Amino acid sequence: MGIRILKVRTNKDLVFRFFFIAVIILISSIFSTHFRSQANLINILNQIPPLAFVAIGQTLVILTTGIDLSVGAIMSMSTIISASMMEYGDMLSVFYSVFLIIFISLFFGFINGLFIAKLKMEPLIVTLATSTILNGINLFILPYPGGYCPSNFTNLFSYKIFDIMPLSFLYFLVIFLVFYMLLHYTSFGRHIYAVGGNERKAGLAGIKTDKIKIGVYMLSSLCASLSGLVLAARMHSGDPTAGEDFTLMSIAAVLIGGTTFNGGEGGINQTLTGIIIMTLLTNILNLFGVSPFYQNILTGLIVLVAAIYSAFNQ
Amino acid sequence: MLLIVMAILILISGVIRPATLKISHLVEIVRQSVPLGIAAVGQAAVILTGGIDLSVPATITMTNIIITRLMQGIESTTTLVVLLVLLIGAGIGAVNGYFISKFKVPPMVMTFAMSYLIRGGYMVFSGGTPKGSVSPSIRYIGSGRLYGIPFSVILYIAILFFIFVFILNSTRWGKSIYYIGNNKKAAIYSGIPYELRIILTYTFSSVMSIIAGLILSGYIGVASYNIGIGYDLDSIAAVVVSGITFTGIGSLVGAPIGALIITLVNSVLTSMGIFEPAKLITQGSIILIMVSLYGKGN
Repeated sequence: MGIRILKVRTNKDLVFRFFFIAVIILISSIFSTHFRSQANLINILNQIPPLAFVAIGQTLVILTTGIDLSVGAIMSMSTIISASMMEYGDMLSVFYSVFLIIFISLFFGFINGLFIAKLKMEPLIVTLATSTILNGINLFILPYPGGYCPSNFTNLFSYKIFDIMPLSFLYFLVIFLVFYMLLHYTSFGRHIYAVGGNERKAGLAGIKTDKIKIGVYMLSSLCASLSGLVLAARMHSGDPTAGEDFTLMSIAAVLIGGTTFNGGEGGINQTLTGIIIMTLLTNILNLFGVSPFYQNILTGLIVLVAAIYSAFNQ
Repeated sequence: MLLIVMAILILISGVIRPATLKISHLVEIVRQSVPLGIAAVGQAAVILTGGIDLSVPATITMTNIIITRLMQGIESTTTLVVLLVLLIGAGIGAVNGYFISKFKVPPMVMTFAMSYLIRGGYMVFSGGTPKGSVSPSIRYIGSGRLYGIPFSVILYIAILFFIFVFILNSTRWGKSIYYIGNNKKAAIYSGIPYELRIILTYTFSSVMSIIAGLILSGYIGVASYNIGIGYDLDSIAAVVVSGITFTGIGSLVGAPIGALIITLVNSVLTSMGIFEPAKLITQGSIILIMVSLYGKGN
């Protein structure tokens, strides 16, 4: 009975958010020819994947009442390795770099999960610490933005199907589907919700909470590395601070989407709305020439309103 | 336990660079740790209640931007401007605390969103270019010396004394930050004015950040957008390293010592010629190690 009530509440919120998005798109399309243009649509489709992957991973972590602050550093790491180790025309180097990036991200995710689950440390502190360490390593390898991502790599993301949809967006759709099925059709996914809802009871029910938590942080880091790869392909270079903003943007997307820090509620559909809202917001603000100063204030306000709204609904 | 760690660190740095054991150098380290120490005390109070304050760097920078622009190096406006920024700081903290306690906004989100608002605010206020300088008294606070001891250190000790003796143990608020963090439900049920206490806690933290900003501005003397950078991570590191946890365990008194440790480590690394990257790696590792060591006691 509790689950059914949850679903009804979730659906109402979801519908409301999608309606909100539809309204925004409608109004913007009416008032701005630029917004309606194909170039802008491609722009938006390009902007969504970097935020989307990392927000999906962050959703999983937040569902278990945790948080992952190290995603930004993982993203930066991905851009740095891509820009330093890939060679033009040599697909083997591309594969090797991607493999290395994924391996490193899983390693850091494992470390996060280990400290959080086994040593019972606060996720905020642990992920903050690993983020600091990784940022230090990043700055050591590449102190300034630079390096070069060869076109045989970037084309994997920027090639546009029917000249409109970038491959990166297609990857996003695939990953979204994969994670949706993971969360809702596998026991792992159900266990994530259980651990987030009431960890002690989940443990008593026989769920291996430690394994779930470690798994969740490893998945978050994996998603972050995917975001980083997309970012690297867009930037064509590496940047030790590339992922900085994305950490808190991913949290904002999850929050705006309606998944709460209490854990056990929400999911990636909700986060999807958060991702779309944030991307649209930045896009529209830029189109209307709003100065970055005011954009700052607006972003803060939006996150605030979203947090209050979601806290209200508990 | 904390003091043992400090003593060991001083010994190690003495071995690496004997020059660090000179009194003048140690005093210099203390002087460098003052802004961080003050911010850390505020952060400690917040962390003890189970929250966090990410608006510290933005508040520090805002202090700097406002006072440099309003003072323009002139002495007469000092008192008014200082009162103004303190009031603004109190306002920021109160808003933080209000939304966190009444609307149940997660502290991380609230203070982070607030820092965006503050940043936007002082950017608009200063129109994109930091200009101006602090008045001579502020300069003296940040860089002057009294009988050879940096004035900021004297002020620091006075502030800490005032807080620890008069506020922490004598006011109801001061005592309640511990048990609010330890068991929120019990604290609420025990009848204390929970929301008010939380608001006071965040107000305290923001006011501390303003004071830290004043001293720091006195040190550099001019306006700068970068003055607050790093204070979020550093203040949290200082608090966490001193054994204060999110569950109300640990003593606020540890915060200045934690700040001292962080400053000492940074100073030793710099003197060894190691720059930013290694400092970050070391800081992060220290946090992980120290907290896991403390955690064993839980």
